[in-house]
Amino acid sequence: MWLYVRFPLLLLDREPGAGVAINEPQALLAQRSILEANRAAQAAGIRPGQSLTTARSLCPGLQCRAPCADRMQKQLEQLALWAYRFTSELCLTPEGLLLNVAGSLKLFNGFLPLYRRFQWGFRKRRIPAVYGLGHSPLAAELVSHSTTDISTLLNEHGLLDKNAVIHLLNNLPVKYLPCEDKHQQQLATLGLQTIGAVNALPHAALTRRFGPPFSTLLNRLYGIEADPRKTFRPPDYFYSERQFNGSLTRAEELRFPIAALLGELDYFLQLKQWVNRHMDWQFRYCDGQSDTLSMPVSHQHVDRRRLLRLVLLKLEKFTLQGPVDALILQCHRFEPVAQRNDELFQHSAVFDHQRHERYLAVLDKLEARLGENSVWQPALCNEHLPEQTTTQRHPLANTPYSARAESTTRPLWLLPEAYHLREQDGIPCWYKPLQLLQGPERIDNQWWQQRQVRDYYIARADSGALCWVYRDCLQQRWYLHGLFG
Amino acid sequence: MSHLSKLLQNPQLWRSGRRNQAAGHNSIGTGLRRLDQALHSRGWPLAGSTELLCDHFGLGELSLLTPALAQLSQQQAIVWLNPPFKPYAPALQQAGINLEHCLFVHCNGLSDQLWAAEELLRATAFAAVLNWSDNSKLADRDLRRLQLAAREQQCWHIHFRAAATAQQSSPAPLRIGLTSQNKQLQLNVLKQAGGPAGQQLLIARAAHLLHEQKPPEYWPQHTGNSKSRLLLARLPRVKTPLDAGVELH
Repeated sequence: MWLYVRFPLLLLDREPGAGVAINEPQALLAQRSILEANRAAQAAGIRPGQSLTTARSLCPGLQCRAPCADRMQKQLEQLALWAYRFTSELCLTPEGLLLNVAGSLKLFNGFLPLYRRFQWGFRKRRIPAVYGLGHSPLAAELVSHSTTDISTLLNEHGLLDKNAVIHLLNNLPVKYLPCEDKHQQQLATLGLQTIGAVNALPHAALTRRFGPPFSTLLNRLYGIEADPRKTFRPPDYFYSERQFNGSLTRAEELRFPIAALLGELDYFLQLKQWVNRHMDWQFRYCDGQSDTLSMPVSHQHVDRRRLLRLVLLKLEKFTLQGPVDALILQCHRFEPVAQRNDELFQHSAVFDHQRHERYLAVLDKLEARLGENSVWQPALCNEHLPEQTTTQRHPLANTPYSARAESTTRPLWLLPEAYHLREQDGIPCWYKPLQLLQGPERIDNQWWQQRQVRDYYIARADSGALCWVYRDCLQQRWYLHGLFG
Repeated sequence: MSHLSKLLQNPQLWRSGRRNQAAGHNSIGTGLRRLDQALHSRGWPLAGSTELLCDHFGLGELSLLTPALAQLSQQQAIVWLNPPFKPYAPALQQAGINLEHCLFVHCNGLSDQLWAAEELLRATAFAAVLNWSDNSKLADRDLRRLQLAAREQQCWHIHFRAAATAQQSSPAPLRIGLTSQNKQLQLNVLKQAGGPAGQQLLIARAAHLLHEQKPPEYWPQHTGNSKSRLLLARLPRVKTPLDAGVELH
């Protein structure tokens, strides 16, 4: 039982263009004749098959463009990803999607509920879709050309009525048969108007006249021969976009499209049992410029609402450069979902998973608002100079803590940069003269790079603060380097 | 009658002449016996704001906290929000703090800091949040928000503020003024929950920091007498009558 969905206006309604509003007349052009026209153009009297001159005279403001197979394919792949939830047996055709729904009927309580969900999904996205139903892939494709409602092809049990499909196919005009133009003309000269009339002829004669592929086509159409198709596999990366055709100017208006894109991402990740580590947002403006907003995420489970809050937090500090034409979400880096075991006894837990998840969540929030480098952890480093022993690392970095601190008298605070102290009668002054308590402890090092000779002293300031000062023996200057907090 | 007994059970009710028993429930020892005794909660309260008011750094204000922080950081994470200087990791590790459980957050601007502080306190993922807001004027409303967040989520909010803010009222249940007094750290308990405040303590700095080297005239001298040996100068011992055996690192 095959369901076919054809999207006649997919390219017209969704082609990006500078400031082109969706309600202007547009048409697709192939070999100087109209292939497809959108609603506005159809209202102006433009019909497929008209020549360009006729169309131009009917509607002077008509915008024409050539069909783009690549773009169509990309759009279809995006739709296929959504439709993948209904069945895994899904094929892409040049014009639409083909689904074998036979295996999904029980899951969706029969064909009609599934069909309704399908219709609702496309109506919500404002994508015009034409449906066809058949017992073979080709039959479903051809039935989509007829104007009959496909629910009439079902029997009283809600299953496909094969005879009704064959009856419908028999009455379809020959022009819908996907065969060469030469054969179409030959069929016309033979006086064959419907597909049924062609099928009624002896197949041996048809093979002789039109070649073996033609009779295979008919056999496949009527379900006599198998019709293997290449099924669609969801890609290993996530890409989705929303078109606004320049109608969106404020960042607040992005909330709903962002939520919808995150919903798609959530579904994709669930499908793959993955979590993403990165989100790349791209705002494409009408003038062809674009802005990117990339944000790292460190969650362990995808929570759509939490992600939405994070993105909105990031957007607070982001100003749009102009009207937005398209919003694109891409994700390339994924990790498999970490399965964790819960403890049988609550209190015996050594590692609190929930606490760790909350920790990761607040980390994401901080990074989204304060910037990526604003959150760090100190790490020890085996260096000789005091300022080089502490390095900053990202909280989720996997570098092990190997170095051990030696036990010497060291301050808890270190100044970001050593502060040059004034000297008065050989005594360093920090506002007032410092009282040197003990020292020196000499650090003479880095001779292979830039020799440092420092004599460190512990000194007492007038305020009572204990300072860590050093005299640079090469420069003969005093510096304040730390505080015993 | 039952109403009255219920009221008396309320830990937030201050009753003069009686130490609040409930206040000591959720606290961690300071590592200093005399300070533990001075505080009605028998240690640092682990929920709510603790304000430490000092104008200078290097008085020993951080060493006051390190025993408690070292204990907390073994299991749970600790956040340092906008510290005034860079931390010196070897010294932190030497003080017993687990570096893996330390998170440093840096932000610009008061609004970002208040937002970050509240997020961190409400995250229920951290045992303590150390927050430095040096001279910025904080409204009573902001302080109350932070105190509420800390109390509700059982997080210890250590708030370092300027000494001048001692005059301003604050919703924090524990406020301590820190000054340096004669080579020692003077603690002045301005306010605390569960009993009267006003305790003053002197806490000595670690002796190895204050060890003073003597000028040559105090050095051991050889007197020329064949019998006499070198007269060794004794190491100065910092000892005050107020504290005995209390050392800070």
